[in-house]
Amino acid sequence: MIKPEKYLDPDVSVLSVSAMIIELFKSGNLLTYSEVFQKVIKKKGDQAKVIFLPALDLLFLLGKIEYHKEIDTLEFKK
Amino acid sequence: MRYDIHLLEGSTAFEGLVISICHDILGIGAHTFSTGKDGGRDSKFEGTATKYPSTTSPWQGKFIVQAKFTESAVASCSDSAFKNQLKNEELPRIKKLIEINDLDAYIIFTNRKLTAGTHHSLQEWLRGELNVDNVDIHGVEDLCAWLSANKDIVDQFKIDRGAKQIRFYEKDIKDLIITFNKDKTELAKTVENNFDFSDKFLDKQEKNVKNNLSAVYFEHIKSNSLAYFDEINKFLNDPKNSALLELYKQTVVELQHKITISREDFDKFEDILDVLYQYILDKNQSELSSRRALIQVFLHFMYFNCDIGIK
Repeated sequence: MIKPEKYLDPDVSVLSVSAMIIELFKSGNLLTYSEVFQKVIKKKGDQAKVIFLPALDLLFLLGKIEYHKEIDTLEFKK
Repeated sequence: MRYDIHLLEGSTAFEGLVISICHDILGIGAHTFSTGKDGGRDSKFEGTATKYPSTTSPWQGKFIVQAKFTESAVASCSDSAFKNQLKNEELPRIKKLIEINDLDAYIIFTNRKLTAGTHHSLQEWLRGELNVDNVDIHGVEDLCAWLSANKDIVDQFKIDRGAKQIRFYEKDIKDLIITFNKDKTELAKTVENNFDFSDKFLDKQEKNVKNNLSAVYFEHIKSNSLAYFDEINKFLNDPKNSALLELYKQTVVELQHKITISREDFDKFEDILDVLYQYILDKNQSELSSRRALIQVFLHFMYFNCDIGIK
């Protein structure tokens, strides 16, 4: 799912969606989960729904985001 | 073209095949095989052959025909077992038949391999033993040549085209086709105007030459299936179909492996596609008969997308 391959649509790949999520945090370090989700789906389409969580997982594994459960908010780690 | 004659259901089916060939080359009067009092199974024909060994000089008189079947794909007339069977079992009986009735011609049909050298030596040996000039033996090579010219016999006996049926795990492609059929949106009736296929066609011309896919068949792919390819691509690219994509990838890897192994058994690549189509359909009649056009479409897609065949 992460590695490029023949049947990967680059526009809805994990890398593409992760990059887009990083862009969203340019205006601030905190965004609610639903804000991020809706902006991603608005731009990438319904196909991105399946990719959204894996994209967040990737950013989490890279140490770029943290999820605050009590306020349902994602924090970008610079 | 080679045919899997050894996969026929036993010697009775082979005898039926031989009789069908005899009806063509000798005449409709060739009797079906029967077991004589001496225990041997022969077919008899009496008269002037229609076109055996040729139309200009056909054999005539009393014929005895024998059919020697083997389940082995590699058995040969050079094998000592074959000659021993002829020497110990058949010749004594044939000689007795000659004593009772004159014999004018003796023909053996077998699906064993027969080289030119072995043919010559066996023929000369039989002629000497029986004291009959019109003696011949036909191996699998001759049978396949006759079958290539008589497709109705091939169909009658359901002998697979090509030497081997390509068997693979076809359930995945079945599931894919069924899901795609439910999922597909509006299918383009014609190729979309904003998609330029011209450079892809040039690539494919080279691919077609490498794979020996005929120009006529490529036109068939373009007219029959090309309009679906964009939709299939979107279907496979859709992340929600990642599990189905995995099935597709497993299928094409297996198919590519099987095609590579069997390639020499087929002439044109479209023969392979036809064998695959028939195999998938035969295995999934109830589920795919109403969607069988999509079987061809997917196979064409695999080829066009360089998932099968030489790139």
